Amino acid sequence: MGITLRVPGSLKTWLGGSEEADCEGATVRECIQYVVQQYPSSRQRLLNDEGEVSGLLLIFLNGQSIRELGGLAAPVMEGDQLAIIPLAAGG
Amino acid sequence: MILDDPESHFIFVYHPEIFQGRIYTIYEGRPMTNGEIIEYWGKWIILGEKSWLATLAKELDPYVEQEEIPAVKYDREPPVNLGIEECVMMVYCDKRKSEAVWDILQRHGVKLKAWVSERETMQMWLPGGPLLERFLQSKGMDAETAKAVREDSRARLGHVFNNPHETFYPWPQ
Repeated sequence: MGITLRVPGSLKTWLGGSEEADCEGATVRECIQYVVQQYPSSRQRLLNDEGEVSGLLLIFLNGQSIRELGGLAAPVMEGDQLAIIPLAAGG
Repeated sequence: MILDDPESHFIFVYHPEIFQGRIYTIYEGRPMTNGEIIEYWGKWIILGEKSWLATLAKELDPYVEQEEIPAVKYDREPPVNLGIEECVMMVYCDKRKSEAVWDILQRHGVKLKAWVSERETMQMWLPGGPLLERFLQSKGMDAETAKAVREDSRARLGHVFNNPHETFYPWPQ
């Protein structure tokens, strides 16, 4: 069982037309970077100009906002589920 | 019951007694305080086509009437001014009951699991917060109006943070 990343339908072009993708990494940051490697067209959406994960996204690990889990450095394990939604959807 | 007022951007699912003064921010039958709201309140976020969310709202209505879900709201139209191409549904509940509510949502086809606490939402709507600043930008407000909106936000949200023992009353929307 790997690590899964899920996005809403309006963002599925980021993952090559799918709302779900497998990813790898020991932290949330590494998983996002892995996805960018697999789907290069997602780079400008997922990363900012400095190559860091975009602040215009809300990221969740097993449903919990990573802001409450230590941010992008939060550890990820096999079987975990990541999700990304636009920041503006959070309020 | 589903409250669909065309004048409102949002469509709501409330308990029918909402019109008898009932508030939905309750826990174990007791109205929650500002402090409890900041510590425990939040929502599951669901994005999708409006037609799907309308169907989901009808399916969730009985759970609201049975008090398993406190309240639901969703966009009448996608908030494109905020850069979102889908409608957003918020299923409100207390964190201590959020997994039970998630189980309900899963049974009705929700797959993307995203919980946003009210504390995080409020922080994003404070002056300088990413949601408030983006909202002001999207509305093209002049500096004076934007300043007034920021001050209103600071006063409203600051009151919640600074008065943790007062009963919380949801804002009219």
